[in-house]
Amino acid sequence: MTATNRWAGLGAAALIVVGVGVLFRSAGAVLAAAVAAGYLAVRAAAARPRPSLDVERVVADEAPDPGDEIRVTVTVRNEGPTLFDLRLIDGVPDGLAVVDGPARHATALRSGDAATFVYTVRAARGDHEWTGLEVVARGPLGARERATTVAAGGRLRCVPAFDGATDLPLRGLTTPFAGRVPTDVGGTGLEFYAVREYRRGDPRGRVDWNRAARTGELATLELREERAATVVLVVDARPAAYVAPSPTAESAVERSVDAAGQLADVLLSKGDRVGAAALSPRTAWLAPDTGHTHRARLRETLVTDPGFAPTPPDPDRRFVSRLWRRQFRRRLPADAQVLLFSPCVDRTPVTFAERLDALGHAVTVVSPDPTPPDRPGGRLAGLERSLRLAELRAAGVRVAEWTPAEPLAAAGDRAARRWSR
Amino acid sequence: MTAPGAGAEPTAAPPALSVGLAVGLGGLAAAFLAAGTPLAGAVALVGVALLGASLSAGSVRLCATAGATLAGAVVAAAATAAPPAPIVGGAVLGVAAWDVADHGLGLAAHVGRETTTRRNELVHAAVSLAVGGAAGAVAFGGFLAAGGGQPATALVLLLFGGVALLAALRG
Repeated sequence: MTATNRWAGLGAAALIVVGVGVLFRSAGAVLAAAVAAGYLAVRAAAARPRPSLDVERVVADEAPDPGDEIRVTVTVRNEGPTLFDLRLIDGVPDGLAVVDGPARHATALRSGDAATFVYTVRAARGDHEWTGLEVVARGPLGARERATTVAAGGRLRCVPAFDGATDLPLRGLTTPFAGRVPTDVGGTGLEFYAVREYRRGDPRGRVDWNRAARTGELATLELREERAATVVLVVDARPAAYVAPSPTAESAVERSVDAAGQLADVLLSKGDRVGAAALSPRTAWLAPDTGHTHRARLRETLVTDPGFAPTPPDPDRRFVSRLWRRQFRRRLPADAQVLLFSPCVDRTPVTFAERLDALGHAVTVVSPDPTPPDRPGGRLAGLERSLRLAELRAAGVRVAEWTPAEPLAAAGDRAARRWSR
Repeated sequence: MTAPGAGAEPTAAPPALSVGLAVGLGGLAAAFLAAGTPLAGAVALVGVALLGASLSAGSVRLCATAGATLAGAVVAAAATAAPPAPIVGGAVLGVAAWDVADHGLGLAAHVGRETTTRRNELVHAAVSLAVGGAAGAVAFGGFLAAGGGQPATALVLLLFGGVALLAALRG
C-alpha cells in the first residue's frame, strides 16, 4: 500500500484561500475552502483498496506455428468489495510480441462484476508461459494505491517444422562407421578413387579385369569410402548475436536456430551423429548421437532450451569465451566436426572457429547476414563482417554467407561450389 | 543492425476522454469564475491553458502548476469581491478538472493511450464531481441557511474551525 500524494497540495491551497477570504471578508472563499475540506475528508475516510480478483486467461491456440497471430483473452472477476480504479497489466512472456491491442486494461469493477480484455500476440519458437497479471488498485479519489500480482496461468508452445531439404556438404572428418560423407579413404564404396596393385585376398569383383587382359597383371580398384560424420551444431546466441537488419526482421539467432534444425534433420536422416550447443551465457549442450529418440530430443532442445531462446540473455550475466571454449573442447568428441552458426558481428566466433580448426576439428561457419545494406552504418558493419569472414577463409575455415533474402539451401549451394572437397 | 522485439510499448499519453473532460470542466470553472469577476476568469483561463499543456506534454508537474493557478483564480475572485455562488461553483469544477487531468496522467503512466479506459475514467470523474458537488452544496446551503452577512467575529471563529478541520484532515 503506497500513498500517491495526489492531493498533497490541496490542504495548503485551502488554508491560503481561507486566509485570503478572511482578509477580504469574502464568504465565497471560505466556502471554496470548505469544498476542499470535503475532498480531504473523503480522502481520509475512503477505504483502502484490497483487490481480491479471480483471473482467467484463455490462449486461443496453445500449439501454433511460428508467425501465427494468437488471441489472448483475459477475464478478471472482482470477488471483493467495489474497486473504483483498477489498472491491469498482463505479464506477456518475453519471447512473444504483442501485435494488436495493448495487453493492458483499466476499469472500475463492482463486487461480482467481471471485465474482459483481448490482445493478440505473434507466436515465436519456444515454450512460453504466462504467470501473473499485474494489478494496480486505487481508492475512489486515488489517494492510496496497492500494486500486486495475481497468479494466472497460460501456455503457448510453438514448435517450428524444421523440415527442409537443405543440405550442406560436410568436411572430410568422419567416424569409422559407414555413412554418406565421401572420404579420402580407398575401400568399398561407389565412386572411383584409385587403382593399386593386387594383394592376396582382395575380392574378385574389385579386380580390374580389363587391365589384367591388357597387361597380364592383376590390379585392384579402390573406391571412395563413404562414412558417417559426427557433427556438433553450435549456435552463437550471445547477446551480441541478437541482431537483425530491421526491427521487424528475424534476428540472426532465430535464423541460425532454424537453419540448425533443418540441417540436423537432414544429417540425422543420412545417419550422421548430430549434437547441439549454444555459444551463450545460458549454456546448452546436447551430446552427438543418432536415432529417432535423439532426433526428438534435439528438436526439443532447439525449441525450448533457454540457451537457444528467441530473446537475448540478461546482458549482465558474465560470459567468458575462453572458459566456454575450454568446457566445449572437453565435451567435444575427438572426431567431431563443428557447424557454427553466427552472424560474426564481433571477434569471439572468429577466434572460436580458428582455434577449433587448428585443433583438428573441421569447422564450417554458416553466417546469416544481419547488416542492412541501405544505410551507411549498416554498410560499414557489413564491411567489417566481410573482413572477419575473409580472415576465417584464410585460416582454412569453410564459410557460407547467408543473406536474409535467400533460403538456406541456395546459400549452401552457392558456397559449396567454391569449396574443395 | 537493431535488436528486434522493441516497438510494442504503449504510448504514454493520457486517454482522449480524460483530456476532453478535464479541459471541459476547466472551461466551465473559468466561466463560473468569470461570472464572478473578469480578473478571476482570466486567471482561471490561464490555468485551463496550463492544464491542456500538461496533458499534451504528459507532465504531472505542469498539471500541479495548473491546479495551483486554478486555486489562484479562486483567490483572485475572493480578492476582487466576487459573490459567493460563482466562487463555490468555480472551486468545485476547478478541483474536479485538475483531478481528472491528474488521473489521466496516472493512466498514461500505467496503461497508455491505446487501452480501453472509458469506464475507469468516467467512474473517477463521477466520484470526483460527486464529492466536490456534495461538499459545495452542504457549505453553500449552510451559508444560505445562516442568512449571510456574518459579523467579523463569526468569520474568525469559522476560520479557526476551518483551520483545525483542515489540519486534522491533511495527514
